[in-house]
Amino acid sequence: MTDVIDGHRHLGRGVDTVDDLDHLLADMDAHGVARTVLIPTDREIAVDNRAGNDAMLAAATTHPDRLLPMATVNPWFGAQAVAELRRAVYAGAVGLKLHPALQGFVLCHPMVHPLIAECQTLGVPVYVHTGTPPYAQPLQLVELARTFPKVTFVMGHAGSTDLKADAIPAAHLAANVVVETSWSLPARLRQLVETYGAHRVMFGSDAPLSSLGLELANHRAADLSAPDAAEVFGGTAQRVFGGGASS
Amino acid sequence: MIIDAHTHLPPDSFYPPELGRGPEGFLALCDTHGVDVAWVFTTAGLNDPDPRHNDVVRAFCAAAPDRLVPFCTVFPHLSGAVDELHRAVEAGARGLKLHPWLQGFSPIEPCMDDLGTALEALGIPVVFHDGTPPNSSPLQIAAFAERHPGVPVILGHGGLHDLWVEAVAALQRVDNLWVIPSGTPPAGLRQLVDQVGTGRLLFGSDAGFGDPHWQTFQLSKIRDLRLRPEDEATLLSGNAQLLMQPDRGSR
Repeated sequence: MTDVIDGHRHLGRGVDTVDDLDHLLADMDAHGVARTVLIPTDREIAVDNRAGNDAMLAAATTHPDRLLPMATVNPWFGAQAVAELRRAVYAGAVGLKLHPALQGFVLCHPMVHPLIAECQTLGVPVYVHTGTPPYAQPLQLVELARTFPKVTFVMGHAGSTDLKADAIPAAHLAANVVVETSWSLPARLRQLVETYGAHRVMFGSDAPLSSLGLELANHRAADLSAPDAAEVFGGTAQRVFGGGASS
Repeated sequence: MIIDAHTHLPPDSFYPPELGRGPEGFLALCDTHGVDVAWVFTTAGLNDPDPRHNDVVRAFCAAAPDRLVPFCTVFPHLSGAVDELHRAVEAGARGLKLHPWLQGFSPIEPCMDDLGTALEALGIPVVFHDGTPPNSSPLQIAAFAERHPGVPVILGHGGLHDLWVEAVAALQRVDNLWVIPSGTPPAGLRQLVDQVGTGRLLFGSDAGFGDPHWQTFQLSKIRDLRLRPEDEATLLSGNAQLLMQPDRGSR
């Protein structure tokens, strides 16, 4: 197995889940994961953005070769959100995570545009939770991606489960969208690779709500070709998040 | 003993090339996972109200009547829904499967009243697809269960990703509500077991609906809970056996 990058994992105490840094690193070691993209959790995504961003940045500082911090800001904070995003990226965050269902906005609403424009200026990707109607739909992400064709967007969970069908035609509507595959079973993963091309597909565990071990088992059961697996389990995330020496 | 309480009649495209087709291939898949018995629902019949889909499921299950348990479906908005339920059950169906989202109804619409009464009289369980708004939320299904306390009402997916918290609340509220946590995230399943126990949990995989890997994944989810053996047995088969006993009475 190549150097696995987990493109999506939460750190911290949520309302229904908890994970701390020691457990996270031990879990990575137990499953052969070289690097993990860290996302804040629940209330830090919804309202307490700075605390969550600082926690991800601090965690990544302890293992800069293994942990990639993502920032999140809630668009409802307006100019304050843009400023916090800029601060976090200057401090080392590798991208912006948005969660329209948890943060409470329509993904393609113009209120989001200043944040995306800032991502374009900063040269960082935007990861978006999708699959929870009515606020986090793949085609809303496509609409945003068409408005900002120079920004790379990650379709989190590829629309699973309610809107997984929409993720397929979405592939052809916006070339600047890649998919993250947590919650995919083998046949679904193969479908995403065939539709998007492996260079637009990245593995993510969505732990601790899901399980890193179970997700890896599901993904490995897809029996992807070696070149495709190299992309899904690392290459795509490497390019999108720019983590590591070869970026 | 493992009973998979949520499988669908597989289309030919479902089967891995090394397995046969039809009931033999399906049972071979079950054998690879140690699954002894499967409750079988239609797939095509959730999109098409032709009652012959119920006959197809029954014929499929007749190949191994001790291992394959046929369920039927009806479209509640159609005037003949209750008649079709009676016809299918007399012909051998052991339960009803409903998919409010695909079949286009709310679980608490007036058209559901007569169906609930009929289910109670027949003494058979009903499995609902759940977890998909706007028509398949756990609390909508729980409200149907509250109206028909003698009917074992089963959430087929445990709220899926977005509504598993609602499923936990619904199970705590309504005693004749049961759950197949086939869509509940692993961390949510842990909480479901902690808060509701295993007394109303059934194992189900959704096998036949898209991916032969479903049973592997769903069994791994259950085994990762590291339950006491007696609790795991209750979940994997005991509760499903209980619901198939005609004299089980209501809870």
